[in-house]
Amino acid sequence: MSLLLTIVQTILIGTGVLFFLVGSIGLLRFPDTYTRIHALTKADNLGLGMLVVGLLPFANSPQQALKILLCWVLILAASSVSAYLVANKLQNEEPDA
Amino acid sequence: MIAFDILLGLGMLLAAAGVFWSADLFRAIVMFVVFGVLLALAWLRLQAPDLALAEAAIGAGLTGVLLLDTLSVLRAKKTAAGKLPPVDQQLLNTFTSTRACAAQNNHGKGHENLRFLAVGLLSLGILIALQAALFMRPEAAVNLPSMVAEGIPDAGIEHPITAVLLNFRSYDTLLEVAVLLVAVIIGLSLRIPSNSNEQQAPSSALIGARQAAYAGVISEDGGNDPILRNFTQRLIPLVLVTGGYILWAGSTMPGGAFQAGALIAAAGVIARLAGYNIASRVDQLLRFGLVLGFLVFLTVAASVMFGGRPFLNYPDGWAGSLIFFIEAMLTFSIGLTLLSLFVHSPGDGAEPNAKSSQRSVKSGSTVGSDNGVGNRPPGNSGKAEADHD
Repeated sequence: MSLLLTIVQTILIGTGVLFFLVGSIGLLRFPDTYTRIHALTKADNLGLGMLVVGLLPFANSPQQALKILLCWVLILAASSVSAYLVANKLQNEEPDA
Repeated sequence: MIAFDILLGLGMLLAAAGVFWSADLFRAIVMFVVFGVLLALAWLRLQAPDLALAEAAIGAGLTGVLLLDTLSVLRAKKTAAGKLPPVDQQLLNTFTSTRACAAQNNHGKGHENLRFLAVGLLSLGILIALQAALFMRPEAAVNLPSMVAEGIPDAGIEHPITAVLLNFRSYDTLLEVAVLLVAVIIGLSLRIPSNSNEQQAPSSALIGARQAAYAGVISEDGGNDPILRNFTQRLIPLVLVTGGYILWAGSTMPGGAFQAGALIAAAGVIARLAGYNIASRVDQLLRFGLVLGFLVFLTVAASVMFGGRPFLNYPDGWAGSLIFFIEAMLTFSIGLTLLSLFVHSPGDGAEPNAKSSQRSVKSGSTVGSDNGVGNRPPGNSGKAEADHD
């Protein structure tokens, strides 16, 4: 049982890290701001969710698990709002883009 | 874990190199923040979570915000540089194009290489000397950790770091708080006065620069942006509660007044960036709040002398409550201090130098405030919205 759990966790965390990696490559390689935001927020948020799910069974106590979940919610909210702000600012500056 | 430590160390070196070698100041600041975050991780690995908290909140967070703010003001000033007196322009050029100037001053490539070599050798020498000194140091004559461990039962507080900061070595902390207070007083007095006539022009130019800078940082309709406003409204209470928790946690685990104060300042900075201008509207209260922590600390420290005790020696049984009381007041003042350094930095359009303009904006914006979102001039819009909120 615990072996199965470890395997599932390893897969989840590994995929999460992979998504982060892909998002970061996208950030570096994509041509303009919109696509970069797309790469960063989409891929990283998915990776983050996998990391959180993968880390939850490691939590020592329910409080710790709740803190991990709180971090997840906060990072999701912050990244989506900042992505919106960057995109909105860009939209205001160059409406044709 | 050793692989992680090596990666962390290399990452810190890379980030530090990025700070110094990036030609773009914005990139240098981002690298500085990255360095701060990595440094916080390094403190965690060295099992100093208190330092990690402080580094993440103050070193990476607030300092990064201050630097970005400065840069945006300088850039906005540079675009509007025609209005500024020559001295200011010179200053601007020094700050915004240091690297360009440095490149001009260098006579040829060989000269530069020689300088690099000299600096590199000097750094290497210092590194070796420090390492040697570290290896040759004698055994410590006094075992401080065990002394702290012995003293903890009488300290009135469980967490050793807080006990050291506010009981065993409270004198240092008292002076630290005094230094912070002096720093913020200097910061406040550097604001450009607008009542003297000859300084009127640069002052208004600076205010314009600051406002334009804000239009650059966030969308110009900051306070009116529904998503930003809703997010800020939900986030700030959470940050404040976390600050209170960190303060409370300081008595038994890592945390304490400085970290909690940094969080409170962060809440203020977020509010300010989202267009809420809280601090500028309660000037007198702000001044009172800035000195409150130091005043309470000094009062407690001195009032124990009435009972015939030495300075800063808490009475038996009262240490815990007194320390927590002092810490709570310190948190408030430290938060306000850090926030003031951000909100009231020179070039800000905030009170009192902008009071007249604020008033005129107020009357003007009652007419203009029903305009659609986003088609407002960057001028004083942030302030006008703050007044309406």
